[in-house]
Amino acid sequence: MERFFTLEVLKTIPYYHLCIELVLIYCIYWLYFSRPLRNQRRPELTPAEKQKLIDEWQPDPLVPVVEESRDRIVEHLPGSKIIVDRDECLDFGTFNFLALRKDDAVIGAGMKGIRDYGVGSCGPRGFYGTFDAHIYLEEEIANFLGVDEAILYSYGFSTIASAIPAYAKRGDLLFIDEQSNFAIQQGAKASRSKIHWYRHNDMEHLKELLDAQAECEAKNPRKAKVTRKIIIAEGICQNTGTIAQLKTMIDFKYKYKVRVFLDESNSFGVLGETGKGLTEHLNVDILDVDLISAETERAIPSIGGFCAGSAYVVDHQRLAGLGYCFSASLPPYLARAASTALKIIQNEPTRLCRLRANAKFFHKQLQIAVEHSHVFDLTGDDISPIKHLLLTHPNNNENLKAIQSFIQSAQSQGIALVSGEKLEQDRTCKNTSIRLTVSAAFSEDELSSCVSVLSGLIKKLSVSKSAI
Amino acid sequence: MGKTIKIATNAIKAPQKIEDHFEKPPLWVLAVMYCNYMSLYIFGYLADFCRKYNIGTKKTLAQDLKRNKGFPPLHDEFASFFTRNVYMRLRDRFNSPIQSVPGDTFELKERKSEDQNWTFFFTGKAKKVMNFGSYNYLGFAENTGKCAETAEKTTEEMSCTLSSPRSELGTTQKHVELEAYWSAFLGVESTITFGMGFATNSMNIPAIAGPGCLILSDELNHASLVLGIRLSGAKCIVYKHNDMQDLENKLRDAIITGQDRIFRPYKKIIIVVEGIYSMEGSVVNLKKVIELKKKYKAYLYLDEAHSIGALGSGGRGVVQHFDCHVNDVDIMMGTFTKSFGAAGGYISGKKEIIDYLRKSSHAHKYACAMSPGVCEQIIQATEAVASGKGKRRLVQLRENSLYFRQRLKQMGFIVYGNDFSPVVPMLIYALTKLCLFGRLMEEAGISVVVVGFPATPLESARVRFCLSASHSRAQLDKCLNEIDRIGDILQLKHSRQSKISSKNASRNN
Repeated sequence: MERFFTLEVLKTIPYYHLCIELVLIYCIYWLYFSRPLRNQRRPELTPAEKQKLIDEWQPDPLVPVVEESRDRIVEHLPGSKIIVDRDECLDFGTFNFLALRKDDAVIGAGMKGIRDYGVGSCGPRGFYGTFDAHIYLEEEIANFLGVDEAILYSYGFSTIASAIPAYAKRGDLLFIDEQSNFAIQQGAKASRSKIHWYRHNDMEHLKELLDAQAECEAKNPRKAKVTRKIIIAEGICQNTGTIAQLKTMIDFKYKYKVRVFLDESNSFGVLGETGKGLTEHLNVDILDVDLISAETERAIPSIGGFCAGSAYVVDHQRLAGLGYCFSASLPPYLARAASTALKIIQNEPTRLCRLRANAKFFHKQLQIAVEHSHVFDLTGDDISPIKHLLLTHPNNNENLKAIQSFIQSAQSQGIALVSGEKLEQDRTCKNTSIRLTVSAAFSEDELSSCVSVLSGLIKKLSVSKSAI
Repeated sequence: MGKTIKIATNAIKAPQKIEDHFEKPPLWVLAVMYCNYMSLYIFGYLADFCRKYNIGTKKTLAQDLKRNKGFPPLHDEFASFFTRNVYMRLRDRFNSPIQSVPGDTFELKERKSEDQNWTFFFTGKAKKVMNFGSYNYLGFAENTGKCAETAEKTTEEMSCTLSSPRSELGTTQKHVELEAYWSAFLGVESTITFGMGFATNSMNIPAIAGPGCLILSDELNHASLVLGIRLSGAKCIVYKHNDMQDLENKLRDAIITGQDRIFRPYKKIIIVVEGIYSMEGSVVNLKKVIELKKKYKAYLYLDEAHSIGALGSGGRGVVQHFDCHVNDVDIMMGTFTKSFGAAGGYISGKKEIIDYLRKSSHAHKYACAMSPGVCEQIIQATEAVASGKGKRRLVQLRENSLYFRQRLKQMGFIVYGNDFSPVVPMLIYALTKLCLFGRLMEEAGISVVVVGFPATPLESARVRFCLSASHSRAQLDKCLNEIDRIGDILQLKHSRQSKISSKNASRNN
């Protein structure tokens, strides 16, 4: 026993053993002490120093100071007229495509809805916020479009913005048109997926991106098998009025195994023989598109929106769509109004014809007015009810002011317009434009009078520009 | 009636404004709960095995279309396992359709399933049940009376929608009137309203906060706040639910250490809290939050989705409940869905804040304006509350909340939250008991909301009663008796605090 308490013991241990142990001890020492050393870039502060830091900290104001702005106050009249700040105008600003907003049947259905259900729904869909009116509307939309299922949202903006993050998660890939509306942008942001922006309606660029991705995937096929890829586009682009090239996208879909989501807010109830939207217009099988979403605030004059598609896709949103699960459901009287409007669309296809004829006629006239003006470019397809007069040389704030005064003087001459001004967070905020929305309520005379007012104003603007 | 109130308020102790109750369950309850989940999972795997080898009748969730063969699946495997094998068993408790006004009672559309909840069909019959599920705190969900009539008239005059964002051509005189009215009601400088409560949070926080800002968020904040914070790009630190010490520590640390990696001080710090937390029934400790906010120069974002109308002597929410000053809260947010029988949300505060939001709020710029009929409903309901005609409703709601909560506690149930809150979560723990509780209650003619994972933590599945001013004492008593009866059957009386006082109370009765 005594041997162990003397240095004798060291002699019995092999020499190499000792060396290894010393190295190990050094390693432990190094691991234990080196980590805090690395973090000691910010030394521990004394309580007094901490207090000083807290006292010294001055936050920015909660919001920057801005000038007070006033929204124009409107009153809607039946037909194509609107009163904007006491000026009676032709309504080229609101999305009243089929002129159903003031339709007696729609409003009557809404009023009856209030008598039956009251105003609010008092709960999310899961917890006693599902009314029979919602179920009917969902069924009607699904039947109308010829898909398995539809799901209702209580706010147009939240529809696509909730649908995207329900499927796309971190690590997934989204291919999105550059000029997509803000709801799509926000939905994509909420999903935290990787986003590839392709140039507006540029299928070549989309193909390049998909090819590059396919190349990437060939290196790691196991990962590729679980990475969801989704192309997201708008039927009619709200920021340009251009129709998406859906056929090419469907080709890509099967070639690259990418899903296609289509936001039909501006094309549902507008395009196609019976108003089913872009798929009908281009004669594409609707089930080739994985998810169709649309706001029911435009062609259908109600509030909210819907997503439609196969049961496999849509049903998932009932548990995963944030804006569906966690928000109060659509007031049931508005669902009633929407059902009635949908019936009218089915029964009166002439409205659709009138809208398309108006859009084409107006496009032609506008083109003539804009030609050679060197101030504006007309964007979009002729059949689209949304037209944009895009500034040819957008550069500074002066343009914004010019557009504001343009809208103001149009208003005083009886034309209500809207500027395409965007928020800073919007990717598309750089294009300054004037937006014109055509409705089925306009007569050709009204459209022509609008064009003559506009061409007068454009001439004035181009003269003042050339003077500078 | 006077006597029962006395028992209710004095039997245990006088209700405290700040105190929240979160009683811990006995250990064996948790053990049973975990066994419960375990057996659900084992049977789930068994069912999946049978499905794979075509044993028994084949029931599956909707499958992807054949043409999409070889595509990466759209859904997670774990989530669909949970949906198939757990959610499917209690699916009949959710999305039950109703076909009348969601007042104190409503008509439930009867639906049946012959394949264990995989598909439902309607029998065509309807069943009248008492409503303890809808958010209808002040009882304004009505289809008769002044509110509904004026809303109907406004719809006739101004149509259902304006099909335009507020900043474009979607602002009518009604919206202006509503905003002025609401500012006067709350006693603030200015107000801006939006068409959806969820979007009020998710589309306005990104306008207020951005990269370089810090948001301190309560761990139980609503999904809309969480989404808004995520979209804002600000740094988010979560503190323990209503734990003011934790909040203060995190505030101090944040100011001292500054931003991650670049170590600059934060541009601004915003504390985001809710008035009443809808899943816990607890009330924010507003006095302390305001004190901390002032001490550390942070800003306060108060979400009054559930508390506006429901708390305070005049229905002005949690600020009035604690006698705080409305100017101490920088951003007052709330919704009109719950107390006013309408839809949509508002943000109120100083004029410069609202002016800024009118320019840069996502919802104001891009989303459709509120329906005029809804505006009118809110105006009329607010007028009723403000003018004292609605005083009866406020008093009734408070009495109902206190009475209902105290009775539940006397019976020996574990009830979460504050005595004043009209949201009453009662803990059940085991998922299967939860489902059975809901079914038995519905058989007895009472509809209640049952919530389990993933909306709550795994171990605390609960049933939630939403009280309303339109519930009469007789209705509450009937409901309480049924809860008592079913609670005995399912052995849900886990509380150890009030065994003695419940004996006293039964002797008194």
